[in-house]
Amino acid sequence: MKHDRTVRIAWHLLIGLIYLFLLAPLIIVLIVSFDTRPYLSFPPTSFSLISYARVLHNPFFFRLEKPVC
Amino acid sequence: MRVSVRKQPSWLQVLLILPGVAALVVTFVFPLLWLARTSLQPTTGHILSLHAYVRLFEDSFYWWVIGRTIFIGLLCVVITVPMAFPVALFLARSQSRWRGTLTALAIAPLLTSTVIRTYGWMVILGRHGLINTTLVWAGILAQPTRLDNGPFATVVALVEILLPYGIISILSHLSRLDAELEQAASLLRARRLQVLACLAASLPARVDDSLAPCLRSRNQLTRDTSVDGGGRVFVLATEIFNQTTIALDWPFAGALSITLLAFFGIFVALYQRILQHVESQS
Repeated sequence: MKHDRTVRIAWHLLIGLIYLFLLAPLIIVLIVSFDTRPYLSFPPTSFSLISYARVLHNPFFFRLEKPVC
Repeated sequence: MRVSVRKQPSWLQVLLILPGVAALVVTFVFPLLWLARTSLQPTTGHILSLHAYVRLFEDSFYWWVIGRTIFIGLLCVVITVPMAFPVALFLARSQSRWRGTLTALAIAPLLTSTVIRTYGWMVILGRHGLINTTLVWAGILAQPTRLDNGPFATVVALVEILLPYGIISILSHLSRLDAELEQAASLLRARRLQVLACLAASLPARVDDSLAPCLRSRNQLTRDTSVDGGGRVFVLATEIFNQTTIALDWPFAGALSITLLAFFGIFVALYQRILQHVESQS
C-alpha cells in the first residue's frame, strides 16, 4: 500500500535523524582528524593521514613504562 | 527449557552479596558520609555547624541555581525520552543483520570521552561552526549567532549523552513484553498508531528505570559539559566544582552536593509515588 510505504520511509528517516544527532560529534571528530591544519576548522580543506602517521611515530603511545618528563 | 532454581541457604546469599556490598560501602557510602561531615564543618570552635547550609539557603543566587538545575534536568529528560523511544522500538523490532552494529552505534557516545564529544559539538555549534555557516549561507541569519557557550549547547550535549542510557533501558523493557502486546493489539485490528500508543502506554512503568540513571548521571555530566557552557551556565554541579577547585570552600561545596543529592532523592521519590498512583488507578 502506498500509505504504508510513506509511513515506513518517514519512520526510517526519523531513526536516521536521531542517529545522526547521536553520532554527530563523533563523525565531526573523525572528519577533522584528516585535516592538515593545526587549528580547529570545519570543513577540512585538505585530507591527509599525516595526523595518524604522527600518532604511530610517537613513541610515547607505545611505551609500556612511564615516560620520563 | 526450565532451569530449576533451588532455594539457597541464606548464609550463602549473604556471603555472595558481601563483596559487592563491601565495595559499595568503601567506594560510595564512606565518601558520601565524609562529604556530609565536611558540609557540617564549622569555621571556628564548634564540633558541627550548619553555617554552610544557612549561607546556601539565604543566598537567592543559589535558589536560582537550584531552580535552573532542576529545569535543565527536566528539559533533558523530556527531550531524551521521546527521542530514545523510536530508536529503542526500531532496534527491538529490527530483523536486520545490522542490528548488532546499530545497537553498538547507539551506545557509541558512551564509549567516547567527553573531550572528544565536546570538541565535536564545538565544531558544530561554534560561531563559525556547521550550523551557523549553513544558516548564514542559506540566508536565514544575517550574522552567525551564539549557539555554543550557553544553555542551548549544554542541553544539546546532555541530551546526546543521555540518549544511549534511554535507548538501552527502554530497549530492555520493550524486548521483554513487546511482541505479545503488539500482536494482541494487531489482532484486535488496531491501527499502527494505536499499536504505538499501546506500547507507549506500557512505557511509564519502566521509564523510572531510565529516569533514575538519567538524573544521576546528569549531575556529573553537567560538570563535564560545562565546557560547552563556558562558565556561563550555572547549575549546581558547576558551582560545586567552582567551590572545590577555585574558592577552596569545602564545607560549602559539601553543603551544595548534599542539597543536590537531596533534590534528586525527592524527585525520584515523587516520581515513584506518582507512578504507583497511576498504576493503582488503571
